[in-house]
Amino acid sequence: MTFAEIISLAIGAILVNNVLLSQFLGICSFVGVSKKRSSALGMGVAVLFVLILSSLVTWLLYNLVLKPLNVTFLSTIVFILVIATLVQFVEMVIKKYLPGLYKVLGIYLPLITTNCAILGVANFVNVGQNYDLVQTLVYAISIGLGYILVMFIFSGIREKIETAPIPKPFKGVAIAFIIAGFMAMAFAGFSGIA
Amino acid sequence: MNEKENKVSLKAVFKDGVLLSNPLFVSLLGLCPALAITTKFMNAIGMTIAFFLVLLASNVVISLLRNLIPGEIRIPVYIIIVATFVTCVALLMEAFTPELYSNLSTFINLIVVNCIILGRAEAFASKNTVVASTIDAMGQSLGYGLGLLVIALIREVLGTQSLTFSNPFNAAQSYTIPLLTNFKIEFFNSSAGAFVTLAIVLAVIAAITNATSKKKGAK
Amino acid sequence: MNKFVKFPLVLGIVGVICTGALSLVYEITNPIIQDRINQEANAAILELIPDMDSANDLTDKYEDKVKNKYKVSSVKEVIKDNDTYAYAYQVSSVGKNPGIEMMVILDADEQKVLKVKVISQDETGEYWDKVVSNNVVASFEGLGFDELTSVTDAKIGATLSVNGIAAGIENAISFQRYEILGEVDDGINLSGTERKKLGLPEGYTMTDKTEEFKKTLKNKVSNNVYNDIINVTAKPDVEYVKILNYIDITNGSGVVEKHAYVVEGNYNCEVEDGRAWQSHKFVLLFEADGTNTKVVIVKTTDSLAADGKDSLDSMSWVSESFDGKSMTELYEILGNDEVDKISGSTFTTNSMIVNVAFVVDAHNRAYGN
Repeated sequence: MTFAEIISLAIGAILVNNVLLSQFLGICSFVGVSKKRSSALGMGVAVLFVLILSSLVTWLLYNLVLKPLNVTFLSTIVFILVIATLVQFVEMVIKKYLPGLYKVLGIYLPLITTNCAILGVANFVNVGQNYDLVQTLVYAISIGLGYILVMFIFSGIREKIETAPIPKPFKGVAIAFIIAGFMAMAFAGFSGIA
Repeated sequence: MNEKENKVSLKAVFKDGVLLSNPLFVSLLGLCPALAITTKFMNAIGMTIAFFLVLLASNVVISLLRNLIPGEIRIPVYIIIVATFVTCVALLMEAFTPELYSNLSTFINLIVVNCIILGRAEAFASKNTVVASTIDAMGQSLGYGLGLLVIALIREVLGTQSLTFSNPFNAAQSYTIPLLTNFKIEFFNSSAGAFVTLAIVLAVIAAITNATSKKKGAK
Repeated sequence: MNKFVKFPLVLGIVGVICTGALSLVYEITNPIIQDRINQEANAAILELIPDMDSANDLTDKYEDKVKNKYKVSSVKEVIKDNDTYAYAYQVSSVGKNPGIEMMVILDADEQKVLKVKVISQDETGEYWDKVVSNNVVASFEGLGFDELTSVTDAKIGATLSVNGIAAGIENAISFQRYEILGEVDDGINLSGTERKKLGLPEGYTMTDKTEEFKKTLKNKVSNNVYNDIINVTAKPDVEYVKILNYIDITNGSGVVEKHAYVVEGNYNCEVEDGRAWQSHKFVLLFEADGTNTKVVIVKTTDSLAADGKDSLDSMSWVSESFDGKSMTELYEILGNDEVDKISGSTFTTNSMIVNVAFVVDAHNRAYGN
């Protein structure tokens, strides 16, 4: 894989086909954990971390076990179990050995199992695209970075808008979705550079 | 828990699922497919049916097994059961409704991580009888499905000026009903349109809720 | 019961039951799904090649090869008149968006694109309209395996979609080259048919030594000369000659017996209605001791030279002028302009002479005294 291909894959995943604004994966956390910049960032880092690990493990399982055994139809069930176990495991390890990191990420980790970005990426790189290991890693990292980027901008806007005089029915989630709509429009402009 | 006391009334479950705690509009769960696949009304119908089948099957099975599953490992067991039914539904759709499946495939497989399904398993099916869980599945699916259909209806009609229905078992049979003329807003087909449509629907619901609660308060 | 026994036991039982149930559903649905995919593919092939007799599915034969590297989901052998007429590939590719599904049909022998059909795509409407109105898909048809760029260079304002289609076709071509025709991706710019034209005996193998050639040359000549020889840009409408490969040819017992240069050239010449750019590709072979040279033209677009027949027959003057000499002899002859230029196709002749002279000169600079 050449450097140019890596860059184009990364830009595609971070900006053009952004996981939140264009693929609509992980929207629950997008709305739920974006009221404050600090929590958005914490969730973002946790997602990036689990994404890298889970896509690595699911890639190995898919290409070294499921495919040779010709049981790729079990991929959904295997992937979700792997992700759930992995999240539990990571939580235990971090809690024991990296208490500092646990303080930052700990409360977000249990929410990640049901973050569809993780399973979505695992499905996409394996079943959908048949990426090789390098592509898979580049893609997972880029998706994670795209997630962090959008979460951070979005939570920043939400913090500011808290005090704005918003029409009553739009208060709360509705205005958040309007903002997300504007951001999606802005990000749609990136489609020219892919 | 005494199950006789906990007998659920059909009406209450439906009212709960569709109105009071509508999974989409009130609990804000299952948002991903609600934004992603609602460009077409047919997609929303397909998604609703797939969602209903998974929720019904998992609710029934989990309710049947509720006394057999040790509490500590109930979540992994639920996940396996839900994932199994999701894959079943996905395989069946791929075989019999290929066109619909190719439009929905990503989000059919992601029903596994739809919080509504696991949420109902944990909050309802694991504590109630099979019959009650069946009714609950219907109520929740109806509420979620209505949400999807409303969003898809707005987006398809405004985005394409028409509604297209096709026979899911034979994609060649398709009927388009023209509804609007010279009123095509392609914005609603885009991803930004998805967010804005959902925002407007939520705002309208909030406005209605506010108005009715004020009335009640005035009484 | 101990919970360390009970929990894994319960999980295991649930897992086994679920896997069993899923396998059952899979056993029922998979034949239906495969059957449908097969039927759709056959219908697409029949539409593109109406006079075919049948299409044999080869997908299982290449099972571990398909999908992985080439994004090919099915391979079929198209039979016409009891013979393999073509190979049909179902390929998926990425344009602006993922999900371009195409049927690509490649000639079995001549190595050119016969038919291309986009089965489904998810491109942006306005760009796809440009692809359709410019007939992009059809413009790939009839192209040789190395000519795809002529379409991708076309500026129609939908670069990503066009490149996506080209990439899909390229994957099908690579599949045919490396998996079906058994070519090896050894860095040598010669296709399977082109290799056959060299007439090497069985058991002979070619090794790419281009990098070593470059290194040797670099040590012997100034930077300017080196750049003039090596850094030639190949463009469609420019006169150029480019050394693609320097090759060691090893015989069955592992001894390097011959060397060869693979060369590509472009020249402008007269055709029936004016002038046109022509290109050719040839191989200059010689023994390890520098004797017994031989020039084999493996490809040419020049119809005058080809004379409507097998392109290589009417160029027999090439063998008369260049074959059977030693590299030193050739260098002297070409330097003194002594090659017989009477052949009836002056431009072709001239360009061949210039090109061979270029290569012989480069060789002399690198390996001569």
